[in-house]
Amino acid sequence: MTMNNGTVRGREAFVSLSIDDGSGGSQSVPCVLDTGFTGYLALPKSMIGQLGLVSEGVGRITLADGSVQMRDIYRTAVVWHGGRRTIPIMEWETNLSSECACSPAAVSRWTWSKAVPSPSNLSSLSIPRSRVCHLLTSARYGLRTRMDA
Amino acid sequence: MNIRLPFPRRSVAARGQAIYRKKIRPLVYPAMKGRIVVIDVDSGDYEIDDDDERAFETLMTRRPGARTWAERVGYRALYSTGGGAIPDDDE
Repeated sequence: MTMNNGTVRGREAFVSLSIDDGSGGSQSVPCVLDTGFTGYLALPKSMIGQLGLVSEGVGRITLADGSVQMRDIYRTAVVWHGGRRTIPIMEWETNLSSECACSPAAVSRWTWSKAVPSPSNLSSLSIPRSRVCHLLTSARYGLRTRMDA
Repeated sequence: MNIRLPFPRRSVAARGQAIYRKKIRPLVYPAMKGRIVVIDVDSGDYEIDDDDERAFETLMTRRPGARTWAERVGYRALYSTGGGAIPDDDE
């Protein structure tokens, strides 16, 4: 089975996702895995624009401080374990520096961040087939675990 | 090629919330608390599923190009981050 492989840098787990853009191509986007988000994927406005995605809807998100915000929702295909899945993507309005910090308020299970610099100490991991919410927890406590689908 | 113009977020939200509160919530709350409802705000058609990916997929297959509003039954918001989802039981 083709699996998505990720890397761990510090206390954060990254995986590069191939995300379809709006013109028939795709882009490889490094994402950080975050258990705090209950959706699939959140991308900043700038990345949404770069991919050329068109909004398909609107929904609300409860932020870490309890406030509720309204955001556009997009859909596009990502390659996941060799298969393509069309998933909902929530727009994430933030500035680049806070994304790169990947603070606990970082928004998503798969949040786009800037290109990941070459990590000095990598562990390899296997991403489970479906939901990935256990993964970051595992990574935070010293990743050596392979999580089967 | 299906070209769509960006739509105003607030008008879609207002229509979606009105449809949800008047027509859907009385049918799904509290029995389906936690499930995802995706609504086509123009036709009023909607889809309920445990999974947001499937709810969107099913509705958008049936209603290509739909403008949607999404809710999680019994919660303030579709998604949450950090602090966890907040129930909306006091409505």
